Amino acid sequence: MSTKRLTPDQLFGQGFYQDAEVIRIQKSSLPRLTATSTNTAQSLLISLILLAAGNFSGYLENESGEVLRSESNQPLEFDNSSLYEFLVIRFWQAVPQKKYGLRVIIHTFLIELFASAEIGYDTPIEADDL
Amino acid sequence: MQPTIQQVFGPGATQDADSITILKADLPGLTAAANNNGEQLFAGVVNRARIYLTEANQASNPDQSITFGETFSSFVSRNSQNYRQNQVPVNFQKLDTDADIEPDEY
Repeated sequence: MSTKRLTPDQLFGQGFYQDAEVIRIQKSSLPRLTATSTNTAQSLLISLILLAAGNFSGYLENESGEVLRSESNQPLEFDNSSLYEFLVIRFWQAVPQKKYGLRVIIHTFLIELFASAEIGYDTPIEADDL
Repeated sequence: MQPTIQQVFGPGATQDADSITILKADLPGLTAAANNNGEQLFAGVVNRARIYLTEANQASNPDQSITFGETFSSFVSRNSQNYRQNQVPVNFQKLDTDADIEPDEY
């Protein structure tokens, strides 16, 4: 099977712009984010990761964004992860914990980068390696 | 204190109501070109955010709810080709509003 690259628009959403100096992401393309002029950095980062993760797995939706369901009302899932050569983002786990006496839930995603096997085990994979 | 746009996306990052703009020069490990590919840019943004959103910084900032964990490094085979793989865990933490353990509910 031949693998593919993701386009910048797939990863960063419709209206994505880049030139030699900057990238610009349209907030209206970021899922479940209420765009304001003062969004927190954390809101933006999470929405970016959710947007990118949607390329690899999720639920099939119709044109109006409703999740399609089977006759037994199960949502129809898809997994495209093996299609993309250099990057996969997958939901890993949700773990309830107590931190500083407070009950919290921690959702963890794994961002997986794939680069040349010539790169040493102890050398981090950098943007340019992809 | 909420981490700022500049702490997470780099000192040159700005936002307005419609968009967020990030300087390629702020993205580590990226050689800026007019047409960088999507994976490079995404890895650059992630590697930038990891610099500030550490577990050590969270320990002194209750408003920091995102942390990046330690990278797992390995060699893997995908579609019959060998790759070096880095798995970068990113944790989103929020308050769990479910009630505590209530014996009557079991």
